[in-house]
Amino acid sequence: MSPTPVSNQSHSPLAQRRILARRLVVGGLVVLCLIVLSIYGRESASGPLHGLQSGAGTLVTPIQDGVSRAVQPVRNAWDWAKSLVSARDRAAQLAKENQQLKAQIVQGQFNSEENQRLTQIPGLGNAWNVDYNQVPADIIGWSASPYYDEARIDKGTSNGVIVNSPVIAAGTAGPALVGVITQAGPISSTVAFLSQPQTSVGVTITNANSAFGILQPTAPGAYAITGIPVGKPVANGDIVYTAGFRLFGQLSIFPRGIPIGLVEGVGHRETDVNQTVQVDPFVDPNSLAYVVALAPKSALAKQRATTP
Amino acid sequence: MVALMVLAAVVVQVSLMPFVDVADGIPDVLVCVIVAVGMLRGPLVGAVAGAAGGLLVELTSPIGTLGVLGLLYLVVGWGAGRLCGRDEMRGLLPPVVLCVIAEAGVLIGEAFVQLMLSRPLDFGDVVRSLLASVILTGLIAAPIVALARRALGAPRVVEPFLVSGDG
Repeated sequence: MSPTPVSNQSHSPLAQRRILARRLVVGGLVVLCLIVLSIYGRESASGPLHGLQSGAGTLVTPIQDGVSRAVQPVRNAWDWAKSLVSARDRAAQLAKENQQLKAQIVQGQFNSEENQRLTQIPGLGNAWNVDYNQVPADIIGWSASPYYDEARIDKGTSNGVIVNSPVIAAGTAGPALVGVITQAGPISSTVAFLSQPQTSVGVTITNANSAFGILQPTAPGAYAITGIPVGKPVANGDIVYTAGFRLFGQLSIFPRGIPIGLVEGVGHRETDVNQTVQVDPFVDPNSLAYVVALAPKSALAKQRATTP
Repeated sequence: MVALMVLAAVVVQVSLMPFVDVADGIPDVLVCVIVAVGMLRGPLVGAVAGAAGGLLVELTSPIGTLGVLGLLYLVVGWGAGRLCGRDEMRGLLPPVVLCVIAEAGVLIGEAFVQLMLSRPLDFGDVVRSLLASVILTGLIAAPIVALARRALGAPRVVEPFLVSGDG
């Protein structure tokens, strides 16, 4: 390419050729983008373009890692300042939750010892803490687009993390589900948080006769469960867990028993067969700096990860 | 120089900017650089820089598409390039306004593509993140455009190389 003065415009054949060449280049780029978009949308997560994306992500991992560490103190200060604004409301909410959780502890104490003994047997009870290796990871990059609730973590296939590995994080009531790995490179992976609009998780509420439903994000920081029959006694404060299966008994990529959040509202119209349950998640993905990826260990866990 | 600027903008955009998340809005350094490049080097360079920058962001940031941002930034670069050398673009305010309009266009285009891909979007969320991103981008646009002008010098339209012998 060569620079041309701005004023050098004409309708000569040369200028026409320039315009044609310019349009060809730009048109070619438009076509290239459209082809890439079409192929990317159709191919599976193991396709060449996804592989290219994963490889490029691996290349910038060291830079993102460094920046992430550098800005962490600033993020902490910002989060602290934000938390001051809602401190009073949160205190009241936590006091209420505390009361509900105490009641649940009493209810659950009887079963806990036996449950612990059972979950020591790999594969039995779909126990996520036995069937999976827990791989702690730093979040080193966030999506550059506001429409994606995704982040990059500094662990990948070399640590056993694969596509469809569940991701948990420390929440207000211990570890809770936050997302799933959608792309895995050797040293970094991409996690899609549950707040992504297309998320759908089979969940159960053990307090409500093991009611089963499908959890989906609604508003920012809130989920709703659909498909629970009106007759199931769902109450505010019940804990929502992953069910380990989806509709029609299909295996879910998420093992059974990972907490997600607390029921904070139940409702239905008179004509409805099912009730809609509002869920307050234990973890807000936007405030995370660290997560734990669950690397499949048992045959069942590996089978879950390959579930389409 | 243009390639270096785009590369630097991509690195900053994917590694630093997502941490500046205010009300679900993320400032867009790349759109400012693409607008500046287009304004200073014409539609061809603007479009090429836009397409390359957009594709690089999609390759290196956890975004679930490939080609969408390339296409949108290409349009931004091309559009800004059409204004290359115009008297109205000499001050600092017009390019800043152009950056804001371009960012709004990119986000609306991205939201539209998400809907085309059957990804449900909450209208309120989209409006909030769009407003926040546009305001944040407007805040960072002036220094970026000034830096770009310093680095690239006076506006001049760059033509395809195949006819360069005549230029």
